[in-house]
Amino acid sequence: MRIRNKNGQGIYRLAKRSLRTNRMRNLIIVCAVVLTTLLITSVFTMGFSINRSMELSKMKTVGSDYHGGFKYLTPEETDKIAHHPSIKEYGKFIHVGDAMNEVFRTSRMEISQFDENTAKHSFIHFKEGGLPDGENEIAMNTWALDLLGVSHQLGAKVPLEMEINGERMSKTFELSGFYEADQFVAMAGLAFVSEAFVQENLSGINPEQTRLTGTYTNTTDLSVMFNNSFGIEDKIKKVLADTGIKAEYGVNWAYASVGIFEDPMNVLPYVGLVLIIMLSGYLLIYNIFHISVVRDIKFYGLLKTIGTTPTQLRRIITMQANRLFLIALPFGLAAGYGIGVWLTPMMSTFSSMEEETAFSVSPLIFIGAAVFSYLTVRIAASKPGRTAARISPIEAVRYTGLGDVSRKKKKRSTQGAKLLRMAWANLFRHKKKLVLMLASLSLSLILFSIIYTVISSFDVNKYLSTFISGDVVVKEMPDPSQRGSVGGTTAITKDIIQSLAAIDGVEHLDKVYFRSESLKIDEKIKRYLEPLAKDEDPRMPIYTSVLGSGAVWVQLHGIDPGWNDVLQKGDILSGSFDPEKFASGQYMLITVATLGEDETASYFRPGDRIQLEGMDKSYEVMAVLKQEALYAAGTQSYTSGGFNAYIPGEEFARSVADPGILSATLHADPAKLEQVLGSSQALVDSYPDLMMKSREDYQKEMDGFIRVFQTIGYGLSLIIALIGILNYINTVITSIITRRNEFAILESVGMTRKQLKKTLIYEGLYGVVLVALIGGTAGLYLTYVVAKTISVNLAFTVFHMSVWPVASAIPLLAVISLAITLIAYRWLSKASIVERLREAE
Amino acid sequence: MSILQIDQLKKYYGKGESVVKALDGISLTVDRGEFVAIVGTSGSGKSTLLHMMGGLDRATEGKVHVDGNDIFAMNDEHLTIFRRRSVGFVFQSYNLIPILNAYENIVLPIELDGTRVDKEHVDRIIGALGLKEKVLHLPSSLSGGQQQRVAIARALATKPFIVLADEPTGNLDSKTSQEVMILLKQLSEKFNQTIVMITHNEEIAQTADRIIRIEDGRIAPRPGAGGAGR
Repeated sequence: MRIRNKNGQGIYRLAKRSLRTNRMRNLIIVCAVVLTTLLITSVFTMGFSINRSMELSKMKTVGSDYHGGFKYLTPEETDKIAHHPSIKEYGKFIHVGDAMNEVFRTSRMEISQFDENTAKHSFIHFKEGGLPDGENEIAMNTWALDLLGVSHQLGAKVPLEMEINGERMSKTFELSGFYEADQFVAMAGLAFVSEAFVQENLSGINPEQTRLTGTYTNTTDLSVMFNNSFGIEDKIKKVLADTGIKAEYGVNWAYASVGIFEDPMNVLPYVGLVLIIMLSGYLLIYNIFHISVVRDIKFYGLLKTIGTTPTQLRRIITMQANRLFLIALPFGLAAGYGIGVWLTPMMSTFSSMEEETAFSVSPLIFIGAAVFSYLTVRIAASKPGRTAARISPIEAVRYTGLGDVSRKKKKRSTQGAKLLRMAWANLFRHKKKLVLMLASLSLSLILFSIIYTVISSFDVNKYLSTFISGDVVVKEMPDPSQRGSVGGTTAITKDIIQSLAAIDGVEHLDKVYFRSESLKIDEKIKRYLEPLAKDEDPRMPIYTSVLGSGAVWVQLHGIDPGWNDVLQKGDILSGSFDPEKFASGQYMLITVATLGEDETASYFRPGDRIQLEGMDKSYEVMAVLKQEALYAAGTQSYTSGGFNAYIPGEEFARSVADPGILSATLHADPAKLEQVLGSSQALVDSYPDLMMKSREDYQKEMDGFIRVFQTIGYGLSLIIALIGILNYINTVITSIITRRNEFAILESVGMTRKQLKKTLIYEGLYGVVLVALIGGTAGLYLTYVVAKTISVNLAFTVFHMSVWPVASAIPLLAVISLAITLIAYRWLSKASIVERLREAE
Repeated sequence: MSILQIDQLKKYYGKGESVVKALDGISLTVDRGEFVAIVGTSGSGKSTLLHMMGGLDRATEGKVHVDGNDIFAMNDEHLTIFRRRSVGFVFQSYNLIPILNAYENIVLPIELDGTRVDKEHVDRIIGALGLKEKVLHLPSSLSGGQQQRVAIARALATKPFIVLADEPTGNLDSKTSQEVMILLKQLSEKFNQTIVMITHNEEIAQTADRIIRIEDGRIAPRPGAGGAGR
């Protein structure tokens, strides 16, 4: 017998008509799909956009968004490679030499000739002018111009001392263009000369020779784009093999790493979130389909009697699900993307990286979100589809709408038909419906409870004490051109300290002295660093260069006694802090060293002695602290392989020549706080190099942080709550409507309308009681466990359990339940008993 | 030549003490083109017997062959396909699909099968049943007699081996009942269609070629007056 047959038309028609007759159900399913898709899309958008931002900032560190490049080529080689079919786009630049002016002694200033493409792909956006044309023209960034003391003006004279292929040359150029040095872009020290200059001055230089001598003058770097960023290294190797050229090459590692997706721990919260969303969407959509199949069971039974196969019955359901999904999808995707774009900038304030936000419009977001919400719909519709398919035709045709109850043994009651008992029994007639509804409602309740508890656990004081110990802190203005080096310490002079301390209302003032000191790498430290150096990407040789320099940087701080109280017990990893002993000046506190992304370890133990390079005295380690201990006192930056060390301020001033002051923290008399703020601000304003931040400023930042968390958290739980409530509404209304006939029978045997109404209300309230029971037990338990885990892992939180989100949600649910029951009842009571009795056929 | 063959068919519901023997060993044969009426009181098992014949329900014991096919040996999917090709049903409550119009209801089994609708055949049936004017109406706008005629047309549309009718006149007034019975009789003769009909109405049963009586799940030994009484 033939089983597979083309029977689309009949099935299609049935699905379409069935859709048309179930408008209420469709509406709820469409809402459910829109909400589910919206949530998934916004999570995806946030994830992708944050990833894109990270990728962009990595590219800026690399200096280019090209996939990779070939280095030190001859013009012939360049041509040959550039015409390889796999290369979609390319840019060239020619190495010229270095600027040797005195001001560039500390940071290298390279001179090269860029073509337009290379400039465009290297994040160089000219503020004025552009790449040079004439032989005597040059373009560079404002940072370099400032160093040279040249005004930011086109045509300005730029005198350069150059070394080209080992030969000195000086020349005064005219400025053809300049651009703002992006503080995130790596290539700071670059000056661009024109092609004419290259022809004029380099034509006699043989690139093959300079390649050997290592000056690389007149060699060309070719940066390329392939079709996509997968397997860049292999593609480059293939190009080299195809062309037979042997050349050095580089792969843009911003593409090699996949940002947040490289670490499963980063992806985990997103996966969890998507799963919770899918679960809540599933619970609703499943319940709706289940209810509609049970209600229409006669219809499906009929179809089966007439000859609809189980497969066809399942198809009728899935076709409807698909159709509804397609209707809802665009709305969900659009709204979700909008919300994601709106939330992403807020999300990135969580991460400490100060990077600009880039929005991803990757089609993957939409494809992914569509796939996940489709999965939700299909999984949710598949079980009801199977239920419809499994129906025995005879049972279905006879089915009165209460089929599965009749099997249950009737409980006999000696107390008669008490309304309360009836309501309670009614609730359990359709167990599956009940379970789905309870699960859906409890899920949103628990989610809300967890989010609320986490948010209410934020502790402003704990946050503030991390950044500021007193009321006002005065520091040197950060200098963007001083990237890499740790803040200068010359701006705060003794005079300023005295003026600050003299402000009326300042009770005392705590200084932090600072100096970067180097510590020779001994065998012990080497053991920590060598494995890191071995594993790291040779293109970003952080630890290799640390090892090469032979020393790690120690940020040495001298702290005034006021800081002693800031140090908390939890900050100390080993040893113990004794303020009196510490004040003697023989001891030092150190933090663990930064080793890799999240790794820390201490090179020393309490009792060890440390001798820093620039100091003639050694100190005994008193205690080893966590990395973030005394964060407010420090520079708030870390050096790879380095650590922080603290000695008393007095000791610092005594043993270090020209002690630099990093910051001054003022403690004010609360009554005179306003006055202190005003006076210190006025003082700071008169020194352009100084800045101050008050406790209030930090408080505002914290408020912003909390607001972000609230928006996202409450938004999420609100939508999931909406899904839960939709589920509840659908369950209650359908359960009342499908029992119309039964109610008519009850009325015909003498139940008054008032009694019926009461029964229905009890039924709804019992449901709420069950939700309350689940929320009060499992809900509170989960809140405690999950919220505590999150709080412990978030800085600035002090966990305290909160019962009231669950407690306050219950009355709200009761009100909703009451309202829905009454609405459904009014609907019901419009028709007379006889009409309703007849309806049952 | 037999089109339907039933051997020792048993259907028990429940277990142990409370077992209900709906069918207790029924054997019978129906020949091609025959119009058979099965009569019995309510609860005698006649409806169960009809459901077994059409493969709507499965027996506890025994076999049913339709045109030589052992229908209980088929799985659910096969059985459904076999049923829609070979068996036409007419129910007391019409059982039309409320969301499809009369014509769509009639051709639904054919469409479900994915075969092409034999328009000529369907039109002849529609004509014979006097439904020409009503084909675009939804079931809810048709009278009981019209609905039952649509159901009969649906049963015949696939040219089944056998039509099984379960109290086809049960919901109709006596005048309409008579019309429907005349139609069934005519169709049986015109299309040489095998029909098995269940009824509790002796008068209606008289229309048939042969009458089989069921009592307590068994075939009553001889035609008698045991219709209405207990």
